Amino acid sequence: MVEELRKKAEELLRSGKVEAIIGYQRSNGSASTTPCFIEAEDEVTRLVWDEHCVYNLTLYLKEMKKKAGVVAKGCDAKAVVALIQENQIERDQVQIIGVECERQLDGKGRVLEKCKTCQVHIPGIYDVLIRSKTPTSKTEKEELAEEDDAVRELEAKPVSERWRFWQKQFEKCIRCYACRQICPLCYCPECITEKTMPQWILPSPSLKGNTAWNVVRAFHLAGRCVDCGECERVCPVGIPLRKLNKKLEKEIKTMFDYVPGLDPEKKPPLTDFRMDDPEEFVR
Amino acid sequence: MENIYLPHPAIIKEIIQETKDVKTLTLTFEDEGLQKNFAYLPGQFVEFSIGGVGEAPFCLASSPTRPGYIQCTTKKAGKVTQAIHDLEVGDRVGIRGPYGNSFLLEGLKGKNLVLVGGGIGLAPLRSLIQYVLDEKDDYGKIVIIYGAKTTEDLVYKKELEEWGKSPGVELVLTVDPGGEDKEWKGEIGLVPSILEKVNPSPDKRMLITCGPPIMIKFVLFTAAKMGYQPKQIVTTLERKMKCGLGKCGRCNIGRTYICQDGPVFTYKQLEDLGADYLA
Amino acid sequence: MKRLLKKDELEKMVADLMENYDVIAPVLKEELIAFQPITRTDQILWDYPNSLKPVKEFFLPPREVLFRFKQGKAEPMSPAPKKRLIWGSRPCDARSLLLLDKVFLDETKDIYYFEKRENTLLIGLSCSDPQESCFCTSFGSGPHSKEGLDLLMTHLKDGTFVVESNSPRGEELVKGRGRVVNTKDEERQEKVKEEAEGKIERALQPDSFLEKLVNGFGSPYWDKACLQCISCGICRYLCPTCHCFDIADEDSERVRFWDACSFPNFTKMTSGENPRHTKRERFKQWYNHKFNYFKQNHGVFLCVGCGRCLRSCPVKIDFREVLDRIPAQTASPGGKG
Repeated sequence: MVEELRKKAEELLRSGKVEAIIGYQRSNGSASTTPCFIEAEDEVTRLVWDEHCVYNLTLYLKEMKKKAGVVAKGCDAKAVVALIQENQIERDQVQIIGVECERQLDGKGRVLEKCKTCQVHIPGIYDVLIRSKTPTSKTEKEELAEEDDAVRELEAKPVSERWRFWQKQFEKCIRCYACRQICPLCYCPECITEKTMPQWILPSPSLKGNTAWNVVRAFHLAGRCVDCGECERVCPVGIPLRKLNKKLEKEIKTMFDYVPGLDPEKKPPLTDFRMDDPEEFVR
Repeated sequence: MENIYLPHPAIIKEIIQETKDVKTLTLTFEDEGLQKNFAYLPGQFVEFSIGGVGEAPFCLASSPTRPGYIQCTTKKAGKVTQAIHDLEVGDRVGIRGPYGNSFLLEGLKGKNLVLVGGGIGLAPLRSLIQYVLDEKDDYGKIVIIYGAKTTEDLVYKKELEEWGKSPGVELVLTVDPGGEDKEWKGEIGLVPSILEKVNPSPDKRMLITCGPPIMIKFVLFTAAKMGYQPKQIVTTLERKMKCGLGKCGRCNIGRTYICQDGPVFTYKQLEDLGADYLA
Repeated sequence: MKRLLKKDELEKMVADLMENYDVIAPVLKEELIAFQPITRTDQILWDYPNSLKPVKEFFLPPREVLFRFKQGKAEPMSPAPKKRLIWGSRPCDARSLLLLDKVFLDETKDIYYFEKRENTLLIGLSCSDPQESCFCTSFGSGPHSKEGLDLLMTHLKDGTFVVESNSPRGEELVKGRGRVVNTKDEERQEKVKEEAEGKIERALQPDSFLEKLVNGFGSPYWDKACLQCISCGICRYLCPTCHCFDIADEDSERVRFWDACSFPNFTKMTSGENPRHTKRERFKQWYNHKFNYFKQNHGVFLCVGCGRCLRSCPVKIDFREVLDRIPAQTASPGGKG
């Protein structure tokens, strides 16, 4: 796959379709990878592809001023769809180099949680697709069952217990904003945490401010989050942010029969309205 | 040990509405000893606080030659200044400072001066003007060039008249094109071009300027063109400052902390600060 | 004075100290290694790489109330009454406090920091197993450095520890415990030390960084070097020497809390002006602060080589590489930075 990836990247650069390729490169002699930005054809040999390519590189599209090609796994490509839907990027400004992906490993060599329930081993949107020689293993049915379990476990707890659980989690937050910064869909030029008139969210790391921050962020991603799981991966204190996102994902699915990141033509439910909406305030 | 972050209670004695969104506040410290001993120089700043709202740095607009009170001029822009504009006479606020260096008073002594201000940037210059007028024998001729967007935006209107009448002072007022009204008798044009027009000779003169960053940039450029040497040009810089004491880490230009080593710099010093400033 | 104590003797020592001190020690908390007040000696980790957060959090806390306002008057918070003891700090973290002292204990002393420093004893634990990301020896420290510590404990890998005092306060703590070391103990200690130092393979050249940073201030190198950075605050917050803070009022309290020069609004003024308005400038500021400005202002580099920035970067930026790759060039005009 790597050879094919490098070849495609080289072609894209040579044809002038892109000025830069955002991909993965080896991190300083270790097994892990780090993002790379390639502008010259002879540098494509830096590109790698394996189970250490955890990052969602579409993150960098929001600050790219050049026509770029981006290496995207299935989960990452969903973010491109959302960015197109939200008019943050133009479809023809980006070349998606889709890669078939079985699973990715965390720093300790464990399979990432999100990969265990993955339903997009092959990206839903791409310009070039790099296929795997070995087909991915799971059946769709198994995946769906697991998906439901994760949310159900949380829902089964009484409200007070859920509240205690989240308070304990939010208490740890150090407000490094890595969750926001790594998120491809957190692109607000001015984040609500930066606003002071009024001050919606207390800026210091206290339980009150932390709760407000994490809850507001989750809500702002409702119906938009594509579950790339990067926020949870980068959280230095281990707040299980995916649990929040998955719950909202489920609510959106139930209420609007909508799954984010699949169809660039569709309108995300919370940016859309219909005349026959049952809620008074919408009309 | 002194608590360096402790704001000292001060009472608002007077509020002057300078423009639609600019006010000058006259303050005295509650502590009589502090009121008597609060020593400062033109160009220095204080951290002004309103308990429960926050703290913001303002230069002192008053002069130590006129003791008994201090003054700050603030423009309504953010959370703290909004709250300051809601204050009334008799309200209690907090002041800590003074911080920073000053307008190089020794370097100014015996020199002719040209003071170039824009908008609310006249505030620190006012401190210097009052100081120089009160110690007139130490200084030569003074030219004051002051401009604002419109006639409505000129601050210290009454005082401007007084300055204009003072012997040895030439006062030139200007507003941006379109900012004049029917009664306007001053100049019309941007501050740097008026400076060029007035053309005060750089001979035995220091030029001190304060205003919006873009104005300062062009004043520096114009002054250099007029033959002023970088060490003859003085300005003050504005940065975000939280502590005022070189600890919080945000106001630096290179290794220089504006809150301690500034806010007043000669153009020569700015050139030495190099790329980070000039970028 | 060096003494030899068995692990249970050390535990007894901690238990005794708990009567007069709040003892803070490394514990395992939900998979994370954290320093926190302990109530039992069996909570203590005796063998651990390093904590996620450095011990600076006990001197410059992530959030600290400076004042409470009553009728517009600021009432300072009184400091913690009970004496504290940090047990098991790594030598790199101890050195970081000496660097922070230069900022907070200069001629304008920060009383909040000062009282915590005065009030706290530091008991170090030598590193026997430095990680690949560690490079303390490049910055005047080492896995067995005593600098800044009251006591240093070195595990001889058989359940006994050499405990070396480095201050009168430290000497007082260990007096009469265990036994005085003999030559053989010291030889073994030396061996453990050499082994540990041998594991730190990478030596950096900080002086070359200084020169390159000064000369390369305006270099186009930074345009590309900054691309990977996502502008979060992790490296800054977890760095034991980063000390930038913000002050804001929350309800009726004035609060001081960690801030990071990587955040876009770190230098943004109310007027909208932002002196460091690009990612490039903000990325560069961190390196310059540590290896250029601080060195020029205080004579030392603002880094202890703990490696937390390397281990915690969400996109695996290797700051050693970033520094190494700055092109060496002669000074450009206006490039003094």
